[in-house]
Amino acid sequence: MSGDGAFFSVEYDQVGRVAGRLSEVTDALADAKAGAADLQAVSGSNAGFTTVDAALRCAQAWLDEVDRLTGRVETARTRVTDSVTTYRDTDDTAQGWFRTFETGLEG
Amino acid sequence: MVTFAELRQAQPETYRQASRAWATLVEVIGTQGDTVTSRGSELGTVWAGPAATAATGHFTRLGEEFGQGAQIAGRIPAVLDTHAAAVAQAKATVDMVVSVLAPTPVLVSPAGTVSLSPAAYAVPAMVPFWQALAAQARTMINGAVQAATAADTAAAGQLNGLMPVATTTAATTSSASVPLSQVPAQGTNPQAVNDWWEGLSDEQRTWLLENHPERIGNLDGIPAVDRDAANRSVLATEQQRLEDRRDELNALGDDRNGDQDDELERINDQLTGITAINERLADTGPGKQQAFLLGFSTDGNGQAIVAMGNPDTADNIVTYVPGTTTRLGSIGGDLGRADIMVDSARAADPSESTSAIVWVGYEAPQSIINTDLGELGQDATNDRYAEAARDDLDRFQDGLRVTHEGERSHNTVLGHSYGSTVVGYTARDNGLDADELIFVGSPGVGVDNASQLGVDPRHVWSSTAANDPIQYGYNFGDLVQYGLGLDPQADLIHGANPSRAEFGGQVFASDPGDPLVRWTWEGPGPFDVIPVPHFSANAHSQYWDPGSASLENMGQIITGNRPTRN
Repeated sequence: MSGDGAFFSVEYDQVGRVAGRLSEVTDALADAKAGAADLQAVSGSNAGFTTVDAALRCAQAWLDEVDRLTGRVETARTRVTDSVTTYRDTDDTAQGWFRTFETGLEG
Repeated sequence: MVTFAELRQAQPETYRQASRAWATLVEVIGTQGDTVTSRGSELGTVWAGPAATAATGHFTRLGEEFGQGAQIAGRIPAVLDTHAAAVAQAKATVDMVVSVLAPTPVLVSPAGTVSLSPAAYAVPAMVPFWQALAAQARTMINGAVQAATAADTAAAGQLNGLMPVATTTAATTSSASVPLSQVPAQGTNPQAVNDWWEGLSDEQRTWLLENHPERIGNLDGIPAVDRDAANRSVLATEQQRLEDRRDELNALGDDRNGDQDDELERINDQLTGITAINERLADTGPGKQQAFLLGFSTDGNGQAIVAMGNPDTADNIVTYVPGTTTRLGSIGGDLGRADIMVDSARAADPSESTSAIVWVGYEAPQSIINTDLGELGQDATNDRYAEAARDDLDRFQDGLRVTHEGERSHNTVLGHSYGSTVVGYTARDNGLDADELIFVGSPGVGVDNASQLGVDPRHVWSSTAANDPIQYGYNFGDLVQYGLGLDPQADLIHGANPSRAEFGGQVFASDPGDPLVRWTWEGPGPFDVIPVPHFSANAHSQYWDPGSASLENMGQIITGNRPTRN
């Protein structure tokens, strides 16, 4: 937290569930990439056409772009998951402190 | 350059196969981008605070990256489909030629060379026929190969422009790149442009065509094949941009304001012209020469320069400058006129090749007489359109000389209606590098006598159909002086009538055209007929009618002969 008056609220399970569902995105991108062989269908035929080289370069560049986007989604998902874990850990720790205090085992 | 053999082996279906794969991938990227955005919104409902704000903002931007990717990659299927169609048509043409010639003594080698077998000479009377068939086969094969090459260069350029943003950035540091500061500015002397272009490596030329076609396509002095490739890329990009904007404006429905209605109308008009150009560029069928897009712009009313046949290799070149109401959106009819002039020239001299160019390279007046007080003078009575066109038309003609290969071509510049005024003003003020000037349906060409045009008056030709109302478009001062009688001494709006013997040029015959239509007064008063010039718009536009005297005579002049029809 930072800043005067800042506050936050987190529904751990809900946020975790949303983060989990981001895997659907990465899975879909992975499936699309695996099924994209026909992007390079022009390879091996159409000798003499510069479009073939351009199409192959284009395909490779966009497959790399899909990888990059997939990586960005995975990283974002990890950040959300880590945030929830950190919140929950902090909450558990604080909760533990006060329970310990209430039971008189400490202080 | 695609070869005949490569075209024969081409498999255009594979481009369509790739196109379908791209469409699938693009849909996934777009859909998953929406999902990412949606997940970000969901986070905002179950998580609040500074970290949540940062996280949801991140997801919004990430979704936008997906969307941007889908938008760019979403254009790839159309590029591949267009390329597939062009290659398929070119391939069909060469396959058809080979198939048709198979049972004849006209031989087509695996490399596409056309020749006659000894059997062709068995019957002497048949030899001219086989030679003509061979010539036509060569034309069709060359046209198809050139069409495939042009489509190939255009598609490759478009694909290179549809890379992911990060890749595009990296490409600008390619070793083949050319600093844009070195690209000659529009209006540079064509010889200087050509010297610069020829001084580049093949890789640099390819890099420029693929990455900055907008800087190359309209430069006079660049060879026709390269200009064509560049302009096809520009046209495809502009077409996409206009279609996207049209869709945006259509989506507004009743919420469009007046300016947006005007913009939509202009876009639809320009898309009409683009469709006509695309159809002609793709048309390599029998009897049609390969078309080359030598200039293209959607600025203003839109401009385009289209050649039927390669002017760099043609024996004869005619540059046709159309007149009032000419613009990108109206170019379809002019393309047909150019084709028919090629046919007429071929009929006049079958042994020579002719390239006919439609030059819509200027902002033409869009009305004959503008009655809107707020736009007075913005019509065909004003010569400022002709004055503004002079440098561009002059430089274009110079460029044709610079890039022409082999023997000097026989060049004609033909102006119709206000286009003749453009040609006349250019010849008068700049000097036109032309062997023949032709005026048809002219309202005057800015001079009193043919000798003032800088071209031998024996090669200054003009014709006005008997029923063409343009000959009654008097200069206002002369109208006052001579009255409304049809005095032959009166000057027209833009100078002496070049179709009169007194002008000192060569007058050639046209058919009379559709009869005049007299305007009948239907209001109150004793007049049943108003004594003003009578209009028959048809006769002003019938110079290219099939079988007409004017068309046949123009074909003769274009090929360096004298008119034959009276």
